[in-house]
Amino acid sequence: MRALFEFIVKFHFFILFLLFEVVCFTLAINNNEPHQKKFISSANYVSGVLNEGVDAVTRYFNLAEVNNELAEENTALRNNAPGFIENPHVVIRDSVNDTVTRQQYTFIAAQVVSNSVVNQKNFLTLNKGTNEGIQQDMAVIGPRGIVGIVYAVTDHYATVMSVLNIDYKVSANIRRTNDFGSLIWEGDDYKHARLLEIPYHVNLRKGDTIVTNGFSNVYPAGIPIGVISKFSKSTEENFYDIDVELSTNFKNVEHVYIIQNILKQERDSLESTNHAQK
Amino acid sequence: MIELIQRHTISFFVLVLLQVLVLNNIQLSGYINPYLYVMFIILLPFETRGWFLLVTALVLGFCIDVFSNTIGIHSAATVAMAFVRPAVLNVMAPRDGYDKNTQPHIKFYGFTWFLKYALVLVIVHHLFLFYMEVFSFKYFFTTFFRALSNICVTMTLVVVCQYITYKR
Repeated sequence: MRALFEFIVKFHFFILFLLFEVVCFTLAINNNEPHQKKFISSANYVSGVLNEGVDAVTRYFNLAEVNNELAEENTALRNNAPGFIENPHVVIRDSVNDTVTRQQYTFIAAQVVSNSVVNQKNFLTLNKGTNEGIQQDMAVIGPRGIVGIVYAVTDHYATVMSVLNIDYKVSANIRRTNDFGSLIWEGDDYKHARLLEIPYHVNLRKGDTIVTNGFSNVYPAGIPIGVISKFSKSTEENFYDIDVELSTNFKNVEHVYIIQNILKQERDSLESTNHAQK
Repeated sequence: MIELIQRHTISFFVLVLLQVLVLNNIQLSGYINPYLYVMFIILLPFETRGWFLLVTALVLGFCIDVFSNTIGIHSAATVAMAFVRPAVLNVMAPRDGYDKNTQPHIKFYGFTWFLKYALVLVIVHHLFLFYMEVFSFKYFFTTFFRALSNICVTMTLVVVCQYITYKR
């Protein structure tokens, strides 16, 4: 016992170092646990308030571009009104005024109070939380296209896992051909992402638009993600290497919408019974 | 002694706030985000006890983590940096040891000494930080390039800060 004690005293520096590193690594790895996310994230109250203060100042720097984006979006909405997003669940029936199936998605406007693009795992913080009806796993889009997915929420704030996060993956369609693959970000450049699993027989063109599809039950179908900027045949697999230029400018994303899918629960429970039967 | 504790406590808060409020918002060209807060560990007095060094490193890293959604990553990197500090100081000690009334500043040991000392610590911190963030060697060279460019910027800031606080 005494020998052990002496050993600890002698090597306390190294032991303490190992102990701390183990704690840090455990925290870093377990950071996906929902209960933990809630306390230790920029959604917590102190850092939320602080970031909001900073944002109040820095917001002015890119006001011009943000205004342009919003104006562009307004024009697009006016052109497409009233059907901004196609609703696949509309059933035309006589004399039925069913508000539930008419509208599958509700939009909640929010402002970005903190944002990053330089890390491998980038997050945004928004100034809306559970008080405004935000829940985990809701979709977040900007005026030009998708931004990410709600990762953690507190009463007043929500953190969003940005598309620019190496853990992020979204199912995506090529709008012209309707082929689908998955879109990931490889951590190199905040303007480009990569589209995987598009087989060789697809006839690609530079400039093809990539949009979300309804597979994930998070995003409505047809939200723009980006355009194909470069593609080549991969040497190793039977799929194309496709570079996608993201349509959202993540460096100055300011106004976003959080999308609530009213029918999400219904679809989730249906799909989980399918899984259970398999 | 009391004055020293006061000064370091203040600099702790100043550096954390500077990091989370200003520097984390810089994000030059999508690659660069200087991490000046490591200067706190670099500038702690020579006599600082080992355990105290590690504990402050953990607390410092954790403060940064909370504000940048990177739980555990900055803490681990800062603790690693604090761990190598005594060894680095040992290797770089002048022949008759460090003087009692001096601190690891340019003012006392000159530009070259400080640059070498701080560079080793910043390199350890940044490499640890960037590789832990990716958590794989898959993008080895991209990560290396990111770490390298950040090391340059952080080092410049650390040295500039030395000259700003030179007179005190």
